[in-house]
Amino acid sequence: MRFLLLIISVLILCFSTASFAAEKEILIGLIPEENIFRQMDRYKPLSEYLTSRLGMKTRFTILSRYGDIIDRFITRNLDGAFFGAFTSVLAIEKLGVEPVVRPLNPDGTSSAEGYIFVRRDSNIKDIKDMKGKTIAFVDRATATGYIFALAYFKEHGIKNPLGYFREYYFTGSHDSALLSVLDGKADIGVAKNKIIKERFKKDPVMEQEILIIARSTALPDVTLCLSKKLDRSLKERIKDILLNMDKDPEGRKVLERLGALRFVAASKEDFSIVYNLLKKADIEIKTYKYR
Amino acid sequence: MRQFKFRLLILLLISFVSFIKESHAIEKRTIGVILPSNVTYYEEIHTHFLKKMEATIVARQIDFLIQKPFPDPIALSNAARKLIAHNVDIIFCYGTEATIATLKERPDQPVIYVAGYTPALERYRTKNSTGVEFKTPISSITRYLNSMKEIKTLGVVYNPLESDSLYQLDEIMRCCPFYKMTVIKLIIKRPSDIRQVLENINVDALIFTTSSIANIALSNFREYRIPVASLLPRRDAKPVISLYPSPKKQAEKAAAIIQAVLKGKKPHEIARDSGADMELIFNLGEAQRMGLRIPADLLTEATEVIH
Repeated sequence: MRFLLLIISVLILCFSTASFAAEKEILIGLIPEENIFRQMDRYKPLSEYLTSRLGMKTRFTILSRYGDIIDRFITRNLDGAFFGAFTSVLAIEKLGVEPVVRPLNPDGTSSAEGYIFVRRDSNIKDIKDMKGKTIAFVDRATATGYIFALAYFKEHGIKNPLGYFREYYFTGSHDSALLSVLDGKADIGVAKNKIIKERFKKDPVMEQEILIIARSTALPDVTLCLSKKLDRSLKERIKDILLNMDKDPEGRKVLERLGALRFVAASKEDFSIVYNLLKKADIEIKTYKYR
Repeated sequence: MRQFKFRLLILLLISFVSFIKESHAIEKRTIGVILPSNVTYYEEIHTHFLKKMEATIVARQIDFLIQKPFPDPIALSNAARKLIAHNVDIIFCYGTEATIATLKERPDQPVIYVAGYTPALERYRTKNSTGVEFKTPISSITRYLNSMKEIKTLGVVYNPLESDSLYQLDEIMRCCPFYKMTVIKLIIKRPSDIRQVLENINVDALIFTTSSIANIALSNFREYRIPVASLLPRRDAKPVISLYPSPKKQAEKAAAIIQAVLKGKKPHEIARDSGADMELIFNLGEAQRMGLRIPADLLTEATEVIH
């Protein structure tokens, strides 16, 4: 009988330890910025680094599409997510998340620009030539891949930007918008400069074939925002590890793989420029149908 | 009541007059069509084109006089001359070479074309011609091919008598040094030349240009185990990658242009359509059969993946 009680006690202890361990896992979402295989390859070392430094399992999960991000944050009970400029604002407004850090790009900036681009041989030189053509956006819930372009067209006197084109569609990722134009599936593309530059670096032929027609102002780049439910001390630890990882040789390797020099602190105030952009695009964040 | 009847009568009369006017505005017309034979891509566009035209009122007023010459310059010129002699109202050409052959004859009739290769047509366009054009993004197909297999030597199947094919060869040659590939030029002037050309040739992959002759030759290519990319589709040949303008969209745009001409617009009043409508088809089954690496880009970017 004693033996049986001992076994039961051990089993209970095991299960409670397991459930405790499960509770200790941190789950962070990633917006589908680029091809998911490439993106996972970039972020995997960071999850391993955080796991080892925090002493608790840290997992990254790529959210299927921009438009689902807020719903998925809630349903998957995420502890945080690397959001884009617009989705950060959306998450601040709808989920009360707190911007914590963002990566510093190799060019020394922590911002991103949106580009409107065409094939160099397309005979499209300006906004007038774009009338009646096909345009590829990234997603309705991206500042650099959609909203900036809406604001740009409206600023140039086009009251109904989507009606200005023969066809428009959303590619779901920034590199896909670039490839749509390169492959001749769309005449015009809208995407984030960082992803475009990365592709140009790997394949200089792409750079020769693409003409940038317009650029947005600098917008906050991908930002790690943490859930308001997460323990304050844990948030501070995560922030501290990320802000100091460039001082650690192992951390520097992880940053290199991520394509960043280091992490810098982020705050809600950084997003005032996004609110201005939304105003120019006539978008009311509370009622905007981003799905 | 009398006033109501009178108004109704006037209304009926107006409707009747406008109906008569509409049906007389488009008289019985003849469209001469040059459809190069055995090029399945043009046949597919033609099927979509007829469907699109049948859905309109003008279709009942049209006779089609179709020429299906072998796609060589002499046969194409002869076809154009026959249509000019027959005094058709519009000459409608499929592909670059049929268009060039027709434009060289300087016909008085409007020349409307579809699937014309933009760079090759630049020298030949007239005020009396307009149509639907495209330009294949050569670097894309080279890049996708290279991402599946390391390619050191790339064979390019082309016909020097077809100018679109020559332009594409030039562009491939400009592009390949960036990917550290050597181009082997493979000339074919008849479809049957392909066997002879490929004898004793050792290439890592092949690109078939938009040459009609190359496209016909592609159908005899199934026994070879070399990855093939094609700039025109050929379903019976199973190229691993095909990148070409959507036949449905090409047909729809051409039908819209022809309808505008039938309604009285002059070709120079209608802008050439060279909008992007490419389709990227990836034959996964064939790639796996050849043991090729499957790049994620291809799977995610393909308009269609054939298993």
